[in-house]
Amino acid sequence: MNKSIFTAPKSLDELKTALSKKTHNTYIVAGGTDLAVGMNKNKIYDFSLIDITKIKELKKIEYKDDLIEIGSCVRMVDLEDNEIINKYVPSLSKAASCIGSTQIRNLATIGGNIANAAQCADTVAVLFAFDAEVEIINSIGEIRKELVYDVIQGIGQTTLKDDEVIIKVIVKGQEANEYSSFSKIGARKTVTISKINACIKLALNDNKITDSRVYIGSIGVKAVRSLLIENALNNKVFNEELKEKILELGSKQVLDSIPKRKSKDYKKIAVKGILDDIFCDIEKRRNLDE
Amino acid sequence: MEIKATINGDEIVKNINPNKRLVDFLRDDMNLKSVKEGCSEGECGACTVLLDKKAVTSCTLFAGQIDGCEITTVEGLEKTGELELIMKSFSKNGAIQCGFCTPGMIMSAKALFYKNSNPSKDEIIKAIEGNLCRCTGYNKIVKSIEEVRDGIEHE
Repeated sequence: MNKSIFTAPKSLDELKTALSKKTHNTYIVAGGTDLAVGMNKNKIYDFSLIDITKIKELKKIEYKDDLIEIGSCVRMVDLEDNEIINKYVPSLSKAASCIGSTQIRNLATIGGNIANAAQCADTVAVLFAFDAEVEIINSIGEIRKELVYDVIQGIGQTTLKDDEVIIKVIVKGQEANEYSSFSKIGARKTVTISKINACIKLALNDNKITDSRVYIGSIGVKAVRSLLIENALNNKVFNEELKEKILELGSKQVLDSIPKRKSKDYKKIAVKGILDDIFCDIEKRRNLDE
Repeated sequence: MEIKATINGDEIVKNINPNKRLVDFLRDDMNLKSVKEGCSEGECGACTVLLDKKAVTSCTLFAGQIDGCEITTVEGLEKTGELELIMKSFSKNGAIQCGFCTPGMIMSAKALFYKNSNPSKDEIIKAIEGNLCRCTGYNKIVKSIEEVRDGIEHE
């Protein structure tokens, strides 16, 4: 039996040292909402932990040079309530507010949502739509940046090496003419795991869409970019008629992405509901701006 | 591993197994049996406790993570005398049948009151959305919490 070691570094320097001593059965823990449950479920008791939640630097949300820097230990409840996030990445606030229960949102972190790489991860669809990057530190203190989209390789799979930890998420906030929203649907009204989720980000010039990003989660190993929908949105007038067309394309996207999965029959209908929610939310936000 | 924490108002310094889940540490090492284990995956809320005055499911974090933190369970509310009003409200309103979800419900309500001393019915419903009750139903529980909010005392 290996000796279990629990380390809680208080700075990035201490984290670096802890990473340099990391063994094959050492796990990084932040909120714990996936790891603690997983260890108990799999009856794994012999392991070491590096708890990164005592590093103050990783709990900050800052607006720096047009970019929003979110520490990897920022919790869902913080994303939900933070003014900077509400203003510049409102869809991230919305996604965070839809995750689990109050109890889970008080623990779960944005870094954990990325590193855990679930196909239904709610913040991830938003981070993809915003081309967000992460900053990753290793055991010798080197810091590298990578797109969140590239970090996540598949279900539970990332490019993170054994001695690496996500320390920051960097997002370019939306401009005054940009809008974004997120919606999801699960088996229950609240406290639910997404059966399907989506994020849309639009740039508008008056009523015309000049650019768009559309990601749909849970129809692939990671959220899928829908060029089909983006192409239908770009250079079109944002109105009810366009929305109806997009809802139909949503169904087509689901069928294209998961043609053989049994859940396609449910998801091709469900996607219409969430795309409709997103359109309505963006419309509401535009009206508030006017 | 030695931790320092405040548990139900008492400062403790204790050698613990940091890899235990918080629910196991509280029940087995601290003998705080109000903390119930239901689903073991953060879905049912029976194991809800307060971590630095915020509601968390104690089955979803490790005991070592509470070093330097403050934990409150129903036993803590009993010590301060706060439990009596809540308990009477729950029992008078018939909000308890099997009682397994009750400690978690109470701690979620307490966390809400820390944040907002005069929550609306909707805010109460949202605060307990992570607490499942499979026998009483939620209306009586919500009513009990509303009466605690309003300071209605029962005999």
